[in-house]
Amino acid sequence: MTNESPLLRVENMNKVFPIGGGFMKKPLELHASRNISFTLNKGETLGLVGESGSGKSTIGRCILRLHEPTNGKVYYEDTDVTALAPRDMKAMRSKMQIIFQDPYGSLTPRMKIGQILDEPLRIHTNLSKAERREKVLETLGHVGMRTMHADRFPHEFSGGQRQRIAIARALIMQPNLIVADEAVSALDVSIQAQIINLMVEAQREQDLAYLFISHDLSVVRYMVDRVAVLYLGSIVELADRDSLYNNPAHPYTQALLTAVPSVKKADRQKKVYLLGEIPSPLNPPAGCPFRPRCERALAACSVEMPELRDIGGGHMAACHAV
Amino acid sequence: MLGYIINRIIYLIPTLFIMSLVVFSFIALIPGDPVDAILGLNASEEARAAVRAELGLDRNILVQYLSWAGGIVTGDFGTSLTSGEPVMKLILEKLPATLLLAFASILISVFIAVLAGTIAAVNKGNWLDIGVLVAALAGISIPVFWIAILSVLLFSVHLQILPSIGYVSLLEDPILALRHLALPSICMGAALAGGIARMTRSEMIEQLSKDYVITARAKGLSPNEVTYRHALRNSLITVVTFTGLELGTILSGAIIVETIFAWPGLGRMAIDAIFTRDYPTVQGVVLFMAFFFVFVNLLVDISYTFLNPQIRLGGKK
Repeated sequence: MTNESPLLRVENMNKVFPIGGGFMKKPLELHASRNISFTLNKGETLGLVGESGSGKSTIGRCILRLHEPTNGKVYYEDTDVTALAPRDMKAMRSKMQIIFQDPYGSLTPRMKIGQILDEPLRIHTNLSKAERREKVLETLGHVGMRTMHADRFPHEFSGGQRQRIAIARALIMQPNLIVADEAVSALDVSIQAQIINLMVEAQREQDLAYLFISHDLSVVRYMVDRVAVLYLGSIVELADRDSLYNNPAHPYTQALLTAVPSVKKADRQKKVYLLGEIPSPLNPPAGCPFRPRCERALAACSVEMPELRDIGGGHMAACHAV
Repeated sequence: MLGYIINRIIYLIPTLFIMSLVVFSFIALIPGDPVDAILGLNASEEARAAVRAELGLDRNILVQYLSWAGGIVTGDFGTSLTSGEPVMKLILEKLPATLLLAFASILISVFIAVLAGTIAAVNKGNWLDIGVLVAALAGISIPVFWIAILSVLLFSVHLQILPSIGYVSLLEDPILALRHLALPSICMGAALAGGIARMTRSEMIEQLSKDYVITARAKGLSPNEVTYRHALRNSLITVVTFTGLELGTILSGAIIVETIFAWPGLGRMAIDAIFTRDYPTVQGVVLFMAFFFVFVNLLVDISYTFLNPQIRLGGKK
């Protein structure tokens, strides 16, 4: 891992959603992400894993300001993304893109593929119509689609093809950062492999960094350089891939990893079972959010929220017991 | 595409047949006799029988229907009992005024309502949204005749800025024609506008929650572009369907509005014909309106294929 200036730096970002509320009634506060800090280097892939409801997607969307973060900073190179005026934000959008989980919902149903891909070019470049068309066809070719597909509608394609189109859409502006929000979770396994390989190839060619959001630990292991594990909106562990998969420090990470099914007998070690459900983010437990489900909980855990700290060799964990 | 249209037209035949049966039998069931209307109540039995024979009312009801329906197939809607002119000719004379009124009211209400519904959806939950919802509810629930009379009071009697009654052809004097058109078309469109605004709002709220909207934001489109180019485009199909279905309401509204504003269209003609027991004219006008309604629905169905590429594909198969 290099120590050059990172492409993306997230500092103490919080996102609070108001829930309910109404006339003369204060809405409840849902802390979807708390004190999130991490960096992402050029060309690197950072995995963001956690159960559903752990705030993975919220983080991705806040970085692109598709949700406004409640507080905290997001730096792209040295630009504070959270402070950009709408006009500058528009320009910034060409450098940061997103791919969604559901390839059926993320493409406008009444536009042809060519129009969908043309739109970002029309917004961000001064290319002529013919030049844009050429670029659209070229990008389609990149993701393994044919030029004739440009004049078809999204519903004429399968899920895997649509996800290729979604990737083409993200790649066409040649961004440096792509947030892949469960980008392969909706696809079946053989298609997943194709799409992942396509993403890895694009990364190699374009010096792309990915924020790879997923709940699938096997896919993450294949894909990423570093992993951040989320629990109830906070990062509980952040480490290099091998370090995290081989020596998970946080009890939650340990439980997650033993839950990954494996065909090798040696891998079927003693399982750490998780009891109970993830607590409601509307009413999080005091102290460490994982305490109610943790076998190793100490007295301090119910009082103080553990900070993310280095436990040796850049392996970060937020746990009093480690 | 052509196959799809032909298919739809073939489906029209049974619909039209059933419609003609219903129109004919309703008229036959209505109490009151055209002979009374023509000769007065004191006419002798012989004179009544003579008129009956002349009009063909002494024949079997089935024979009456067949001769009437046979005429319609060849474009002959019968002859008006009061004026003695062919019903078809009368309809064609009155049609432009009603078409103008219907077209203007649809145009106004769709334009205002889609805009209002979109604004409401974008501002969901705040006072703009609530304002649109209240206005839409008012438009739907206030009866046409009441709005019509009040607006005549306000705009014609008190403010004296718009004429209260009458019709001027667009070809004669466009400005004056539009001034005459304003009140009736707005009154007729109010209910439709309320419905369309609510439909647009709920459909837009749904569309705006979809992932492709976030994709469009991520592309760098401004919020307005996202709303109008992406979400509204995908909402329009519901709005078009709704507007097409509501055309029947528009036409029944025409009967009231044309009567209040002395608008010489099909609605007035139908009312006059009912009061004078001019059966052939009533039948002709009602059936013509029904034809018209079915025809517009066909147009709506065909327009889907342009708005929604998924239906276009289905048609080919």
